[in-house]
Amino acid sequence: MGPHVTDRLSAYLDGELPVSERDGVEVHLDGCADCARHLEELRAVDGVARRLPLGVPDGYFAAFPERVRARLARQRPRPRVGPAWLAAAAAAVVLAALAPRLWLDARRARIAPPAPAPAAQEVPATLIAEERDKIAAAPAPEARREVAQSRPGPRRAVEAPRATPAAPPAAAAPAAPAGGRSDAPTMAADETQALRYAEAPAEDAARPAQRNEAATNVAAAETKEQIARAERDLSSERLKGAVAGAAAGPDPRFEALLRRAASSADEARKLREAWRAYAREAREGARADEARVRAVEAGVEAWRRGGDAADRARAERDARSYLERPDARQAARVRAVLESLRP
Amino acid sequence: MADPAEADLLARARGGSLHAFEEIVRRYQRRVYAVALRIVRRHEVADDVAQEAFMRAHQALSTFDLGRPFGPWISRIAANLAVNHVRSPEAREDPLPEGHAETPAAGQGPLDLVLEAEARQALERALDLLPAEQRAVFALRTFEELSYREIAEALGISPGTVMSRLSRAREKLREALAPYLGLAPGRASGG
Repeated sequence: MGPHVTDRLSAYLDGELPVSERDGVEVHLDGCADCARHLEELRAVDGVARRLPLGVPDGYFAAFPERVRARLARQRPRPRVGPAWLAAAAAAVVLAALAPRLWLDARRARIAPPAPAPAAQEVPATLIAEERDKIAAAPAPEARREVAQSRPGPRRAVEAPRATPAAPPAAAAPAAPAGGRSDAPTMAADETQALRYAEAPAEDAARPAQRNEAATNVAAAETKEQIARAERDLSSERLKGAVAGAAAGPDPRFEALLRRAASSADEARKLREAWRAYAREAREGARADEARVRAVEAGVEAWRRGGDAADRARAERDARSYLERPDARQAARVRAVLESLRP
Repeated sequence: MADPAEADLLARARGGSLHAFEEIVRRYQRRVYAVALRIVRRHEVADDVAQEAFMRAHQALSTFDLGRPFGPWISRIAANLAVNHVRSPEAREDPLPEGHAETPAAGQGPLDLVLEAEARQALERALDLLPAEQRAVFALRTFEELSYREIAEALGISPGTVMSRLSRAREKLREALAPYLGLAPGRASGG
């Protein structure tokens, strides 16, 4: 009978075995039940595999051709509609829309804001309000929960600092916060309140913490300052990321994702997946990088809103995967997120 | 030899007609998606790969020989994209969830309904565990029915490598399926 021929049965099954070997295998198969059964089992593998369903969602193939067509249409070069400097001002438009604080910082430092680019006037005030509300509504680091739990009326205290992004001065210089300026009267009240809130700890800390209530007040005030500072830092990084993405050129899908806010754990998970899908499609560049980071942040928000350990584990895993990427542009921002996940 | 009607569609698509290319997509979407899914194992990723395969094909239409059949060409594009994805950092960020398995359809072959469903689940799990390179050759052979030489050309490897990867893949899948085989007369035939 000779040695078994199992190592050649796959090629024999496909008719790809060299002629010189085929006859020998067939002779062996005639006399070896084990190898003959082995061959039938390999044939069965193919048979079962071919019957595996694709499990495609309903309507998927009905919609797929149009999606490809739409994507092709989006990729077609758009005609330039204005001077070249308008395209360069696109990043400034986003900066103005997402950084009303820039205007306030400039005013406090008695630095006259630069003249706005005309395109900045197209920035809808709603985008400013949306970003501010998003930041205010997002669950804060653990300190916020401690404050919320330790003081009466925690929601009010926690939500009071509608901290707005404060880009570093270097980034503020080329900014065109005309969008911010046009909303200055509306912002001023919120900004003033945020300033008052942020400044409060200095006053509280001056009084010695003699009683538990006073000690709690000081701790809470310091924590509020930490919250405000963390929000400014985070928002500053988020702003920079958004600007870097916008500077790559207009992308309605990217901008729509920037506007999306999650008010529940489930929405945060969906936002996470939407950012991940965007990153997979964009693959490389500033927007893809920002999408990956925002996916991590959305995952953290899902955990903070829902308390599901699986969300936390997923966010940690996503963060670590991002940090392993050679093209990661915002490692510090993601490291900060990872740090915030530590118990 | 390419279908004349298809060659006409491709020519019009090459001339800039999105409508013509959309029709091409409609003709080959299931095949492209299936190749992608068999390799990447997740719907969302297969969707991305399938879209990208058509995008790449569209970009390369200017150099495509209209006399060639379009199907095998785009299947190869999809297979390569799928394998590249599985090797990429994105794939590391997107591991297959534990217990991943497609919901089996009702048994249609000679196997008993329950056993067929279990066998399919066992095979799905085993496919998940295969290295991407083995999964790719198995998919192109089993579903696309490409020859070893065609698979080798599609993936940029030697026919000998195709043979060995396919053999190893099938052995792992056979071991996973073994408990469900031979439980009833005629079941081992696999349809």
